[in-house]
Amino acid sequence: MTDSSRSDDELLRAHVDGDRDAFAELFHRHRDRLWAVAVRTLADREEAADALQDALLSAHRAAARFRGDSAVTTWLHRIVVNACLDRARRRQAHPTVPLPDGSRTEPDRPVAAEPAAPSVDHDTALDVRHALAQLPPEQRAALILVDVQGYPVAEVAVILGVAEGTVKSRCARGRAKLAVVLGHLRAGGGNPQPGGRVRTSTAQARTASVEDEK
Amino acid sequence: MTGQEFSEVDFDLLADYVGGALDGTPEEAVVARRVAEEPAWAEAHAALSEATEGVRAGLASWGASAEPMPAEVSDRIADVLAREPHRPALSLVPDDPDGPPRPATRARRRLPAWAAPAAIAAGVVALAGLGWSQAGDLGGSDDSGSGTTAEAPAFGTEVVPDSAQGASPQVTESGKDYRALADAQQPPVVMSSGRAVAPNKDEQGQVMSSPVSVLSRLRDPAALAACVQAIAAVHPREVASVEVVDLASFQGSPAAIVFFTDSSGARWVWASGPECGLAGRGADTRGSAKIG
Repeated sequence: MTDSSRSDDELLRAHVDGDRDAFAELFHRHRDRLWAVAVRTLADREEAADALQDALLSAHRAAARFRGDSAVTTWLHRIVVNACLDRARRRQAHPTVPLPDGSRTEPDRPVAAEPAAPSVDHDTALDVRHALAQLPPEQRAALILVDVQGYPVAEVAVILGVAEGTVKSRCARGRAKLAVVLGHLRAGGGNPQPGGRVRTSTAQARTASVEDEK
Repeated sequence: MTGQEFSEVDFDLLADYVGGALDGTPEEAVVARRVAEEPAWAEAHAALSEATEGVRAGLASWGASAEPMPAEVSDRIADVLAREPHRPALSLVPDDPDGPPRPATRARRRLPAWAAPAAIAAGVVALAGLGWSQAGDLGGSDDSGSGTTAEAPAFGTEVVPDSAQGASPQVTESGKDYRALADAQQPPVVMSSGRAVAPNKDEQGQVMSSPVSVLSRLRDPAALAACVQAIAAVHPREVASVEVVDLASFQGSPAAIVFFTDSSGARWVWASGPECGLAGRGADTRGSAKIG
Protein backbone atom coordinates (compact mmCIF):
# COMPACT_ATOMS: atom_id res chain seq x y z
CA MET A 1 0.00 0.00 0.00
CA THR A 2 1.46 3.29 -0.97
CA ASP A 3 0.59 6.88 -0.40
CA SER A 4 2.14 8.88 -3.17
CA SER A 5 1.12 12.11 -1.50
CA ARG A 6 3.88 11.75 1.04
CA SER A 7 7.27 13.23 0.21
CA ASP A 8 10.48 11.31 0.64
CA ASP A 9 11.22 13.26 3.79
CA GLU A 10 7.81 12.48 5.18
CA LEU A 11 8.19 8.82 4.41
CA LEU A 12 11.57 8.61 6.08
CA ARG A 13 10.28 10.44 9.12
CA ALA A 14 7.27 8.15 9.24
CA HIS A 15 9.59 5.16 9.11
CA VAL A 16 11.60 6.51 12.00
CA ASP A 17 8.39 7.10 13.87
CA GLY A 18 7.32 3.52 13.50
CA ASP A 19 5.34 3.38 10.25
CA ARG A 20 6.13 -0.10 8.99
CA ASP A 21 5.07 0.64 5.41
CA ALA A 22 6.91 3.90 4.92
CA PHE A 23 10.34 2.55 4.07
CA ALA A 24 8.89 -0.02 1.70
CA GLU A 25 7.16 2.79 -0.13
CA LEU A 26 10.40 4.71 -0.30
CA PHE A 27 12.14 1.64 -1.69
CA HIS A 28 9.51 1.03 -4.35
CA ARG A 29 9.58 4.66 -5.33
CA HIS A 30 13.30 4.73 -6.06
CA ARG A 31 14.22 1.11 -6.67
CA ASP A 32 14.73 1.38 -10.43
CA ARG A 33 17.07 4.36 -10.22
CA LEU A 34 19.05 2.76 -7.43
CA TRP A 35 19.18 -0.50 -9.31
CA ALA A 36 20.41 1.21 -12.46
CA VAL A 37 23.26 2.82 -10.57
CA ALA A 38 24.20 -0.41 -8.82
CA VAL A 39 24.03 -2.74 -11.80
CA ARG A 40 25.84 -0.32 -14.08
CA THR A 41 28.55 0.32 -11.53
CA LEU A 42 29.15 -3.33 -10.73
CA ALA A 43 28.25 -4.82 -14.12
CA ASP A 44 27.03 -7.92 -12.35
CA ARG A 45 23.41 -8.50 -11.46
CA GLU A 46 24.02 -10.73 -8.47
CA GLU A 47 26.58 -8.39 -7.01
CA ALA A 48 24.35 -5.43 -7.66
CA ALA A 49 21.43 -7.13 -5.94
CA ASP A 50 23.57 -7.98 -2.94
CA ALA A 51 25.01 -4.49 -2.73
CA LEU A 52 21.59 -2.92 -3.00
CA GLN A 53 20.17 -5.19 -0.32
CA ASP A 54 23.03 -4.37 2.03
CA ALA A 55 22.66 -0.67 1.34
CA LEU A 56 18.93 -0.58 1.88
CA LEU A 57 19.20 -2.51 5.11
CA SER A 58 21.77 0.02 6.28
CA ALA A 59 19.47 2.86 5.34
CA HIS A 60 16.54 1.15 7.03
CA ARG A 61 18.50 0.86 10.26
CA ALA A 62 20.16 4.25 10.17
CA ALA A 63 17.21 6.34 9.09
CA ALA A 64 17.05 8.19 12.37
CA ARG A 65 20.53 9.52 11.73
CA PHE A 66 19.45 11.21 8.52
CA ARG A 67 19.56 14.89 9.33
CA GLY A 68 18.17 16.33 6.17
CA ASP A 69 21.41 17.93 5.01
CA SER A 70 20.70 16.52 1.57
CA ALA A 71 17.74 15.10 -0.26
CA VAL A 72 16.63 11.65 0.82
CA THR A 73 17.39 10.32 -2.64
CA THR A 74 20.91 11.73 -2.49
CA TRP A 75 21.38 10.03 0.85
CA LEU A 76 20.07 6.73 -0.50
CA HIS A 77 22.30 6.98 -3.55
CA ARG A 78 25.29 7.67 -1.37
CA ILE A 79 24.69 4.55 0.66
CA VAL A 80 24.14 2.46 -2.46
CA VAL A 81 27.19 3.81 -4.27
CA ASN A 82 29.38 3.24 -1.23
CA ALA A 83 28.17 -0.34 -1.03
CA CYS A 84 28.95 -0.80 -4.70
CA LEU A 85 32.39 0.77 -4.45
CA ASP A 86 33.23 -1.43 -1.49
CA ARG A 87 32.40 -4.48 -3.53
CA ALA A 88 34.15 -3.19 -6.63
CA ARG A 89 37.34 -2.53 -4.70
CA ARG A 90 37.25 -5.97 -3.11
CA ARG A 91 37.01 -7.72 -6.43
CA GLN A 92 39.41 -5.41 -8.24
CA ALA A 93 41.99 -8.14 -8.46
CA HIS A 94 39.55 -10.31 -10.34
CA PRO A 95 38.55 -9.83 -13.94
CA THR A 96 35.16 -8.33 -14.56
CA VAL A 97 32.65 -10.12 -16.68
CA PRO A 98 30.50 -7.46 -18.25
CA LEU A 99 26.83 -8.00 -18.47
CA PRO A 100 25.18 -8.97 -21.66
CA ASP A 101 23.29 -6.29 -23.42
CA GLY A 102 20.49 -4.67 -21.47
CA SER A 103 17.89 -6.13 -23.77
CA ARG A 104 18.17 -9.44 -21.97
CA THR A 105 14.94 -10.29 -20.28
CA GLU A 106 14.31 -11.69 -16.87
CA PRO A 107 12.08 -14.73 -16.53
CA ASP A 108 9.15 -12.92 -15.00
CA ARG A 109 9.83 -9.31 -15.80
CA PRO A 110 10.75 -8.23 -19.26
CA VAL A 111 13.37 -5.57 -19.32
CA ALA A 112 11.63 -3.64 -21.97
CA ALA A 113 12.58 -0.11 -22.68
CA GLU A 114 10.12 2.46 -21.53
CA PRO A 115 8.02 3.75 -24.37
CA ALA A 116 9.73 7.10 -24.35
CA ALA A 117 13.21 5.69 -24.07
CA PRO A 118 15.19 5.62 -27.27
CA SER A 119 16.58 2.29 -28.28
CA VAL A 120 20.25 1.76 -27.76
CA ASP A 121 22.39 0.05 -30.27
CA HIS A 122 23.27 -3.41 -29.01
CA ASP A 123 26.95 -3.21 -29.82
CA THR A 124 27.29 0.31 -28.50
CA ALA A 125 25.80 -0.60 -25.15
CA LEU A 126 27.95 -3.68 -24.89
CA ASP A 127 31.07 -1.73 -25.84
CA VAL A 128 30.29 0.89 -23.22
CA ARG A 129 29.86 -1.76 -20.54
CA HIS A 130 33.11 -3.42 -21.49
CA ALA A 131 34.96 -0.12 -21.56
CA LEU A 132 33.57 1.08 -18.24
CA ALA A 133 34.61 -2.18 -16.61
CA GLN A 134 38.21 -1.25 -17.32
CA LEU A 135 38.07 1.99 -15.38
CA PRO A 136 38.96 2.35 -11.72
CA PRO A 137 35.79 2.05 -9.60
CA GLU A 138 35.86 5.71 -8.57
CA GLN A 139 36.02 6.95 -12.15
CA ARG A 140 33.38 4.45 -13.21
CA ALA A 141 31.00 5.53 -10.46
CA ALA A 142 31.44 9.20 -11.27
CA LEU A 143 30.84 8.64 -14.97
CA ILE A 144 27.78 6.50 -14.39
CA LEU A 145 26.24 9.04 -12.07
CA VAL A 146 27.03 12.09 -14.20
CA ASP A 147 27.07 10.95 -17.82
CA VAL A 148 24.87 7.87 -17.71
CA GLN A 149 22.33 8.68 -15.03
CA GLY A 150 22.47 12.40 -15.65
CA TYR A 151 22.80 13.64 -12.09
CA PRO A 152 24.23 17.13 -11.57
CA VAL A 153 27.89 17.30 -10.64
CA ALA A 154 27.02 19.03 -7.38
CA GLU A 155 24.72 16.21 -6.32
CA VAL A 156 27.24 13.58 -7.36
CA ALA A 157 29.83 15.34 -5.23
CA VAL A 158 27.54 14.86 -2.24
CA ILE A 159 26.84 11.26 -3.16
CA LEU A 160 30.53 10.46 -3.49
CA GLY A 161 31.59 12.65 -0.60
CA VAL A 162 34.18 14.53 -2.63
CA ALA A 163 34.60 18.03 -4.04
CA GLU A 164 32.91 18.99 -7.27
CA GLY A 165 36.31 19.43 -8.89
CA THR A 166 37.17 15.87 -8.02
CA VAL A 167 33.98 14.65 -9.65
CA LYS A 168 34.82 16.64 -12.78
CA SER A 169 38.34 15.28 -12.83
CA ARG A 170 37.22 11.68 -12.40
CA CYS A 171 34.70 12.11 -15.18
CA ALA A 172 37.17 13.88 -17.46
CA ARG A 173 39.89 11.30 -17.07
CA GLY A 174 37.41 8.49 -17.30
CA ARG A 175 36.02 9.89 -20.55
CA ALA A 176 39.51 10.23 -21.93
CA LYS A 177 40.25 6.61 -21.20
CA LEU A 178 36.96 5.49 -22.64
CA ALA A 179 37.71 7.54 -25.74
CA VAL A 180 40.75 5.42 -26.35
CA VAL A 181 39.04 2.14 -25.60
CA LEU A 182 35.97 2.96 -27.66
CA GLY A 183 37.96 4.32 -30.55
CA HIS A 184 36.71 7.85 -30.45
CA LEU A 185 40.22 9.16 -30.76
CA ARG A 186 41.34 9.31 -34.32
CA ALA A 187 44.00 6.92 -35.44
CA GLY A 188 47.11 8.72 -36.45
CA GLY A 189 48.70 11.91 -35.31
CA GLY A 190 47.49 13.96 -32.45
CA ASN A 191 46.08 11.23 -30.32
CA PRO A 192 47.21 11.21 -26.77
CA GLN A 193 47.52 8.29 -24.43
CA PRO A 194 45.76 8.40 -21.15
CA GLY A 195 47.54 8.27 -17.88
CA GLY A 196 50.70 10.05 -18.73
CA ARG A 197 52.73 12.00 -21.24
CA VAL A 198 52.52 10.92 -24.79
CA ARG A 199 54.17 11.79 -28.06
CA THR A 200 51.43 13.34 -30.04
CA SER A 201 52.99 12.61 -33.37
CA THR A 202 53.05 8.91 -32.64
CA ALA A 203 49.84 8.63 -30.76
CA GLN A 204 48.42 5.21 -30.77
CA ALA A 205 44.72 5.55 -30.80
CA ARG A 206 42.51 2.69 -29.91
CA THR A 207 45.04 1.17 -27.63
CA ALA A 208 42.94 -0.99 -25.46
CA SER A 209 45.22 -1.07 -22.50
CA VAL A 210 43.84 1.36 -20.01
CA GLU A 211 45.92 1.83 -16.95
CA ASP A 212 44.05 2.27 -13.75
CA GLU A 213 44.49 5.62 -12.18
CA LYS A 214 46.26 5.24 -8.90
CA MET B 1 57.48 5.65 -26.22
CA THR B 2 60.86 6.44 -27.57
CA GLY B 3 63.23 9.26 -27.11
CA GLN B 4 62.27 10.93 -30.31
CA GLU B 5 61.90 14.68 -30.48
CA PHE B 6 58.23 15.11 -29.78
CA SER B 7 56.37 17.53 -27.66
CA GLU B 8 54.83 15.91 -24.66
CA VAL B 9 51.27 16.38 -23.59
CA ASP B 10 50.16 15.67 -20.06
CA PHE B 11 47.09 13.73 -20.98
CA ASP B 12 45.42 13.71 -17.57
CA LEU B 13 45.98 17.43 -17.19
CA LEU B 14 44.55 18.01 -20.63
CA ALA B 15 41.59 15.78 -19.84
CA ASP B 16 40.95 17.79 -16.67
CA TYR B 17 41.07 20.95 -18.74
CA VAL B 18 38.66 19.63 -21.33
CA GLY B 19 36.35 18.33 -18.62
CA GLY B 20 36.22 21.62 -16.74
CA ALA B 21 38.00 20.29 -13.67
CA LEU B 22 40.54 23.11 -13.88
CA ASP B 23 38.00 25.89 -14.12
CA GLY B 24 39.03 28.75 -11.91
CA THR B 25 42.37 27.24 -10.99
CA PRO B 26 45.83 28.53 -11.92
CA GLU B 27 46.37 25.42 -14.01
CA GLU B 28 43.53 26.41 -16.29
CA ALA B 29 45.48 29.39 -17.59
CA VAL B 30 48.64 27.33 -17.92
CA VAL B 31 46.96 24.67 -20.03
CA ALA B 32 45.09 27.26 -22.05
CA ARG B 33 48.38 28.94 -22.89
CA ARG B 34 50.00 25.69 -23.97
CA VAL B 35 47.01 24.77 -26.12
CA ALA B 36 47.22 28.18 -27.73
CA GLU B 37 50.95 28.20 -28.22
CA GLU B 38 52.10 24.63 -28.66
CA PRO B 39 50.97 22.67 -31.71
CA ALA B 40 51.19 19.32 -29.95
CA TRP B 41 48.91 20.49 -27.19
CA ALA B 42 46.57 22.11 -29.66
CA GLU B 43 46.36 18.93 -31.70
CA ALA B 44 45.78 16.77 -28.66
CA HIS B 45 43.21 19.20 -27.31
CA ALA B 46 41.21 19.14 -30.52
CA ALA B 47 41.32 15.38 -30.71
CA LEU B 48 40.38 14.86 -27.10
CA SER B 49 37.56 17.41 -27.18
CA GLU B 50 35.99 15.72 -30.14
CA ALA B 51 36.48 12.26 -28.71
CA THR B 52 35.06 13.26 -25.34
CA GLU B 53 31.86 14.43 -26.96
CA GLY B 54 31.54 11.05 -28.62
CA VAL B 55 32.02 9.30 -25.30
CA ARG B 56 29.48 11.49 -23.56
CA ALA B 57 26.95 10.84 -26.28
CA GLY B 58 27.49 7.11 -26.00
CA LEU B 59 27.12 7.12 -22.24
CA ALA B 60 24.04 9.30 -22.37
CA SER B 61 22.49 7.04 -24.96
CA TRP B 62 23.10 4.03 -22.75
CA GLY B 63 21.67 5.88 -19.79
CA ALA B 64 18.53 6.73 -21.70
CA SER B 65 17.59 3.08 -21.85
CA ALA B 66 15.50 1.81 -18.99
CA GLU B 67 17.15 -0.42 -16.43
CA PRO B 68 14.27 -1.53 -14.23
CA MET B 69 14.96 -3.62 -11.22
CA PRO B 70 14.16 -7.25 -11.99
CA ALA B 71 11.08 -8.46 -10.19
CA GLU B 72 12.89 -11.21 -8.33
CA VAL B 73 15.42 -8.71 -6.99
CA SER B 74 12.69 -6.31 -5.97
CA ASP B 75 10.72 -9.06 -4.27
CA ARG B 76 13.81 -10.34 -2.49
CA ILE B 77 14.80 -6.96 -1.12
CA ALA B 78 11.23 -6.09 -0.18
CA ASP B 79 10.99 -9.36 1.69
CA VAL B 80 14.26 -8.74 3.52
CA LEU B 81 13.14 -5.26 4.50
CA ALA B 82 9.77 -6.56 5.66
CA ARG B 83 11.45 -9.13 7.87
CA GLU B 84 13.86 -6.60 9.29
CA PRO B 85 12.78 -5.85 12.85
CA HIS B 86 11.38 -2.41 12.94
CA ARG B 87 13.91 -0.99 15.27
CA PRO B 88 12.40 1.33 17.74
CA ALA B 89 13.64 4.80 17.19
CA LEU B 90 14.75 4.79 20.77
CA SER B 91 17.20 2.05 20.02
CA LEU B 92 18.86 3.78 17.13
CA VAL B 93 21.48 5.39 19.28
CA PRO B 94 21.74 2.94 22.16
CA ASP B 95 25.51 2.89 22.15
CA ASP B 96 26.09 6.54 21.58
CA PRO B 97 27.34 7.97 24.84
CA ASP B 98 26.88 11.46 23.58
CA GLY B 99 23.39 11.07 22.29
CA PRO B 100 22.41 12.67 19.02
CA PRO B 101 25.00 14.72 17.18
CA ARG B 102 24.98 18.34 18.09
CA PRO B 103 25.99 21.48 16.26
CA ALA B 104 29.54 22.61 16.75
CA THR B 105 28.45 26.06 17.75
CA ARG B 106 25.60 25.51 20.06
CA ALA B 107 24.52 28.08 22.50
CA ARG B 108 24.86 27.69 26.21
CA ARG B 109 22.12 25.52 27.57
CA ARG B 110 19.54 26.63 29.96
CA LEU B 111 18.11 24.01 32.22
CA PRO B 112 14.44 23.98 32.87
CA ALA B 113 13.65 25.95 35.93
CA TRP B 114 12.54 22.93 37.86
CA ALA B 115 15.91 21.33 37.54
CA ALA B 116 17.72 24.15 39.27
CA PRO B 117 19.23 23.01 42.54
CA ALA B 118 17.35 25.61 44.48
CA ALA B 119 14.11 24.40 43.10
CA ILE B 120 15.01 20.81 43.75
CA ALA B 121 15.90 21.56 47.31
CA ALA B 122 12.41 22.77 47.82
CA GLY B 123 10.84 19.88 46.03
CA VAL B 124 8.67 17.48 47.82
CA VAL B 125 7.51 14.26 46.33
CA ALA B 126 3.82 13.93 46.61
CA LEU B 127 1.19 11.60 45.38
CA ALA B 128 -0.45 12.55 42.19
CA GLY B 129 -3.23 14.95 42.47
CA LEU B 130 -2.09 17.80 40.36
CA GLY B 131 -3.80 16.59 37.27
CA TRP B 132 -2.40 16.10 33.84
CA SER B 133 -2.14 19.43 32.24
CA GLN B 134 0.80 18.77 30.04
CA ALA B 135 -0.28 15.50 28.57
CA GLY B 136 -3.02 17.30 26.75
CA ASP B 137 -0.42 19.41 24.99
CA LEU B 138 1.12 16.28 23.64
CA GLY B 139 -2.00 15.17 21.95
CA GLY B 140 -3.37 13.09 24.76
CA SER B 141 -6.90 13.37 25.87
CA ASP B 142 -7.97 15.81 28.47
CA ASP B 143 -8.25 13.22 31.09
CA SER B 144 -8.59 15.27 34.15
CA GLY B 145 -10.11 12.62 36.25
CA SER B 146 -11.76 10.80 33.44
CA GLY B 147 -9.23 8.06 32.95
CA THR B 148 -10.72 7.30 29.59
CA THR B 149 -7.63 7.46 27.48
CA ALA B 150 -6.43 4.23 25.99
CA GLU B 151 -2.81 5.25 26.18
CA ALA B 152 -0.54 3.44 28.56
CA PRO B 153 -2.24 3.70 31.89
CA ALA B 154 -0.07 4.64 34.78
CA PHE B 155 0.10 3.45 38.29
CA GLY B 156 2.03 4.39 41.35
CA THR B 157 2.22 7.93 40.11
CA GLU B 158 4.28 10.54 41.82
CA VAL B 159 4.65 14.15 40.96
CA VAL B 160 7.40 16.57 41.68
CA PRO B 161 5.64 19.81 42.49
CA ASP B 162 6.08 22.99 40.54
CA SER B 163 9.09 25.07 41.07
CA ALA B 164 8.77 28.78 41.38
CA GLN B 165 9.63 29.37 37.74
CA GLY B 166 8.05 26.61 35.77
CA ALA B 167 6.19 23.39 35.45
CA SER B 168 7.48 20.43 37.32
CA PRO B 169 8.05 17.11 35.68
CA GLN B 170 5.65 14.43 36.59
CA VAL B 171 7.12 11.14 37.57
CA THR B 172 5.25 7.99 36.91
CA GLU B 173 5.78 4.28 36.76
CA SER B 174 3.74 2.92 33.91
CA GLY B 175 5.24 -0.53 33.93
CA LYS B 176 5.75 -0.20 30.22
CA ASP B 177 8.61 -1.68 28.32
CA TYR B 178 9.32 0.83 25.59
CA ARG B 179 10.32 -0.99 22.47
CA ALA B 180 9.04 1.13 19.66
CA LEU B 181 8.62 4.78 19.22
CA ALA B 182 4.96 4.14 18.64
CA ASP B 183 4.85 3.21 22.30
CA ALA B 184 6.28 6.56 23.17
CA GLN B 185 4.03 8.76 21.13
CA GLN B 186 2.08 9.56 24.22
CA PRO B 187 3.53 9.86 27.65
CA PRO B 188 1.98 7.61 30.20
CA VAL B 189 -1.14 9.09 31.63
CA VAL B 190 -1.11 10.45 35.10
CA MET B 191 -4.50 10.01 36.63
CA SER B 192 -5.78 12.99 38.44
CA SER B 193 -7.00 10.85 41.26
CA GLY B 194 -3.60 9.37 41.78
CA ARG B 195 -5.16 5.97 42.01
CA ALA B 196 -3.45 3.07 40.41
CA VAL B 197 -5.18 1.88 37.30
CA ALA B 198 -4.79 -1.27 35.32
CA PRO B 199 -1.13 -2.05 34.86
CA ASN B 200 0.34 -2.42 31.43
CA LYS B 201 0.48 -5.91 30.00
CA ASP B 202 2.80 -7.47 27.54
CA GLU B 203 1.83 -9.19 24.34
CA GLN B 204 1.02 -12.36 26.20
CA GLY B 205 -1.20 -10.52 28.57
CA GLN B 206 1.17 -10.88 31.46
CA VAL B 207 1.40 -8.04 33.88
CA MET B 208 4.79 -6.44 33.52
CA SER B 209 6.75 -5.87 36.63
CA SER B 210 7.84 -2.41 37.57
CA PRO B 211 11.56 -1.69 37.46
CA VAL B 212 11.11 0.89 40.16
CA SER B 213 13.48 -0.83 42.55
CA VAL B 214 16.38 -0.42 40.14
CA LEU B 215 15.38 3.11 39.35
CA SER B 216 14.38 4.14 42.83
CA ARG B 217 17.32 6.48 43.06
CA LEU B 218 15.70 8.64 40.43
CA ARG B 219 12.65 9.16 42.57
CA ASP B 220 14.76 11.57 44.52
CA PRO B 221 14.19 15.01 42.98
CA ALA B 222 17.85 15.95 43.19
CA ALA B 223 18.90 12.74 41.46
CA LEU B 224 16.25 13.21 38.81
CA ALA B 225 17.35 16.80 38.31
CA ALA B 226 20.91 15.64 37.81
CA CYS B 227 19.70 13.08 35.30
CA VAL B 228 17.80 15.67 33.31
CA GLN B 229 20.76 17.98 33.52
CA ALA B 230 22.92 15.21 32.04
CA ILE B 231 20.43 14.75 29.23
CA ALA B 232 20.41 18.48 28.62
CA ALA B 233 24.18 18.39 28.39
CA VAL B 234 24.13 16.05 25.42
CA HIS B 235 20.95 17.12 23.69
CA PRO B 236 21.63 19.47 20.78
CA ARG B 237 19.21 22.10 22.03
CA GLU B 238 18.08 23.49 25.30
CA VAL B 239 15.59 21.46 27.24
CA ALA B 240 12.67 23.82 27.57
CA SER B 241 10.35 21.70 29.62
CA VAL B 242 10.16 18.18 30.91
CA GLU B 243 6.71 16.77 30.51
CA VAL B 244 6.89 13.50 32.32
CA VAL B 245 9.42 10.97 33.47
CA ASP B 246 8.34 7.38 33.32
CA LEU B 247 10.39 5.05 35.48
CA ALA B 248 9.86 2.08 33.26
CA SER B 249 11.88 -0.12 30.93
CA PHE B 250 13.50 0.20 27.55
CA GLN B 251 13.97 -2.99 25.60
CA GLY B 252 13.61 -5.00 28.75
CA SER B 253 16.03 -3.04 30.89
CA PRO B 254 15.06 -0.53 33.55
CA ALA B 255 15.16 2.98 32.19
CA ALA B 256 13.90 6.43 32.91
CA ILE B 257 11.88 7.47 29.90
CA VAL B 258 11.99 11.24 29.81
CA PHE B 259 9.54 13.13 27.62
CA PHE B 260 10.55 16.70 27.03
CA THR B 261 10.26 19.62 24.66
CA ASP B 262 13.38 21.40 23.53
CA SER B 263 13.91 25.05 22.67
CA SER B 264 12.92 24.47 19.04
CA GLY B 265 9.56 23.20 20.16
CA ALA B 266 10.42 19.64 19.18
CA ARG B 267 9.25 16.88 21.45
CA TRP B 268 11.72 14.24 22.41
CA VAL B 269 11.72 11.03 24.32
CA TRP B 270 14.94 9.96 25.95
CA ALA B 271 15.73 6.62 27.54
CA SER B 272 18.32 6.74 30.29
CA GLY B 273 19.60 3.90 32.40
CA PRO B 274 19.63 3.71 36.20
CA GLU B 275 22.97 5.51 36.39
CA CYS B 276 21.69 8.62 34.69
CA GLY B 277 23.08 11.70 36.37
CA LEU B 278 25.76 9.93 38.36
CA ALA B 279 29.25 11.33 38.20
CA GLY B 280 31.06 10.00 35.17
CA ARG B 281 27.98 8.30 33.79
CA GLY B 282 26.40 11.24 32.03
CA ALA B 283 22.88 10.59 30.88
CA ASP B 284 23.46 6.82 30.73
CA THR B 285 21.77 7.12 27.38
CA ARG B 286 20.08 4.05 26.00
CA GLY B 287 18.30 5.82 23.19
CA SER B 288 16.57 8.96 22.12
CA ALA B 289 14.14 10.01 19.47
CA LYS B 290 12.22 12.97 18.27
CA ILE B 291 8.52 12.38 18.46
CA GLY B 292 5.38 14.04 17.24
